[in-house]
Amino acid sequence: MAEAFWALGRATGVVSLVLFTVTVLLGILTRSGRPALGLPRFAVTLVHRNVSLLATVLVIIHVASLLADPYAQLRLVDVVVPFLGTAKPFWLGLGTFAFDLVLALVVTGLLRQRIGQRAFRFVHWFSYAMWPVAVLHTLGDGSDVGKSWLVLLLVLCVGSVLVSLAWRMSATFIEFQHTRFEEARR
Amino acid sequence: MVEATREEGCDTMDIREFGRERTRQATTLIAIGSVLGVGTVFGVAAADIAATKAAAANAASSGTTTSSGTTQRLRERRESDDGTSALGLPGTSSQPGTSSQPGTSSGGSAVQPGTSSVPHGFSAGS
Repeated sequence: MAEAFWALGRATGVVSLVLFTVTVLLGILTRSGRPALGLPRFAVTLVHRNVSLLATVLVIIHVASLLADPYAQLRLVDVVVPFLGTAKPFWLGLGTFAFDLVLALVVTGLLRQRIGQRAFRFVHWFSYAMWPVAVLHTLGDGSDVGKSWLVLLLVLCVGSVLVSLAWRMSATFIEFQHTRFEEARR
Repeated sequence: MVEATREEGCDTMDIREFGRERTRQATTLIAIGSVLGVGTVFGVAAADIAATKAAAANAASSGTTTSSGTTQRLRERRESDDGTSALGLPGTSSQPGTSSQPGTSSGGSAVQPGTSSVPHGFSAGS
């Protein structure tokens, strides 16, 4: 049974990282204000939200399965407080840190109307920190890191995010940039 | 004018409905992909664990040690935890017969608190 929890923890960890990558890509696409993949603009935002919630569910299963696995020796405090773990505390701590950021992002995302746009955006900037921390956690603590399929997956994830970040910082990023600047001036 | 407004409203509703339908489709597709992904990686991980377990059992019976990624990882984890071998294999324990874990210790292998077997069943002769 412990092996099943371990395998489930590995599987949900890998897939949640892929989903968080998709979330980051869709988030950047949302910010650009462009329709894509046959989706209208507002639908891109909705898919971004749904994928992030799906990724969060998988991360919760990832954590729960490793809590249930006696070998992982994960304690409840390790789920919330980083760098206290008994095994590979630094790499495990990165996972805990990323998990805390995910919770903050999800909670502020769901309470967006109540907390206001400014607070939401401030916290949402931390998604750019969460994703690389999650990647580092995978590299340092992942059981399948040496496997070629995971290396390929990680290269694809990192490559796609780097390309989209380069696009994010380019001058032509926002579809109606000129209009937005005009509105900001008024 | 009224007709035009009605048509615009109708178009707006169509676009919203279209967007929601596309959102549902995209989310369903990604959810199915995720479930398939979890299933696939779970299968790969389970096969890896089973292979490592079999290799550990063979190594224990022949008196040699294995060094696959999973075995290595288990060994590293156990050694970092309490200074003993994860597998409890003959000749692999750095501190034979010791265990910092509460509970029992037998044959040089660390035992999880409250359990009678080595974690993941990676014990000699399992």
